[in-house]
Amino acid sequence: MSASLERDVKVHPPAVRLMHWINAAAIIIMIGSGWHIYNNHPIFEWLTFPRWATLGGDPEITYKLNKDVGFSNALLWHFAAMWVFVVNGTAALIYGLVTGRIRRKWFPITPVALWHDFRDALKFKLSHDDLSVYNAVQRLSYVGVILAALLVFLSGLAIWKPVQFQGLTALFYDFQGARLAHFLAMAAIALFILVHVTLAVLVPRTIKSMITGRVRVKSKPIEAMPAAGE
Amino acid sequence: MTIWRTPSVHRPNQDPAGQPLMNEHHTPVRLVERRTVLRGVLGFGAVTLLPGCDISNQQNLQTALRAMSRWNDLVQAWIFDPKVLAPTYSDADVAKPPRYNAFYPKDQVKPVDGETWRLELAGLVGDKQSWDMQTLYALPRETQITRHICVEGWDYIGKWSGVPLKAFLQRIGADTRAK
Repeated sequence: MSASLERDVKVHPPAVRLMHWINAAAIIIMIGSGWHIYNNHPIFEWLTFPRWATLGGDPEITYKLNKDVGFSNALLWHFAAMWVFVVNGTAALIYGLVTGRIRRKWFPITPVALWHDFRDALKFKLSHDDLSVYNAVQRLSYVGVILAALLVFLSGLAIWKPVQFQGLTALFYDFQGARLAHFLAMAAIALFILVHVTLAVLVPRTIKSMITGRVRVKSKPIEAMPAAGE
Repeated sequence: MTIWRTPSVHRPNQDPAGQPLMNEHHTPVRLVERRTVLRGVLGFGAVTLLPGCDISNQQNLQTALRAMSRWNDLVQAWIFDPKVLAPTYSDADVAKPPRYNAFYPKDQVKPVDGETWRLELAGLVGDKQSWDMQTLYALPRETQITRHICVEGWDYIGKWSGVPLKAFLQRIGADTRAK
């Protein structure tokens, strides 16, 4: 064998990387401005978000100007970034479904594999040798965060136009129900981001691969991937 | 323990009688404490260095946000279906007392003198005569019980009465195509 047993494997096509980072920016703006909007009329008495963690107008300045605590600026952010989030997210879903990438990378998720990988994860024994293959816990969390994104989208629509989409709003019981669903979906996404970013930092190769699309593997050549979408 | 505010009501936890009204307008004061208390919570704004005071006030950014807002206006006009109206409720659903909402406290409300009050008309209207309270009240009035939903996140069901704007505009010969 030649000396080089290392080789670069393509793991993320350009479209996936682009949409990933657009989504990352959009979701950060959405959550930051959403927290500002939330603070204006908190759902839970015991929970408000610190000013530095939010996005929107400066409360002191805007309050002096027009007795508004920067809330309307946060709304502008929220209603601008929602288009980026929805358009990019829709494109990503279509891409993932059409190319079969979602089916191939995230499925199947079997209870046995979940149990096995979950125990390994707790023992920090999960294998990262091949970043192109997701373990069962990863698969479940990716599918879960997509569902949370769909929920945040639907509840967001219900909050945005509660009269025009009153059937949708009724699905969440009422306007406040939709608000609560929107909040909980946000919480699920925020939890995902927390875990996702922590793990990515622990295995920095994953971050590099989401930028360059490639990852260096030190193993026997991996069988050719299916061409579509790779 | 109150985990979640009573759904879909005015603000029951607020004393209607002259309490320091809406707490959101006291936010600037409370922010100071929050900042110290809640330091250490992961902040999405902070992660990207997006705390509003710095970049939100920049002119280009504001222009871009306004442009998106105008786009949203277009989309909202497109979504709006005049046949889909706000659901109506029964008298029993009406929140009592109604939610007080203003950026000044109740004791600073300036009462309106019904005797001297006048509505002055200007612009693209046929009849620019001013209106007093009696003439206005003499017009046919309508009552509806609907849910008022504020963009801030609160809502309550109220009973609203008055002269429909459409009837009034027709009466004064307003150009309803005017923008």
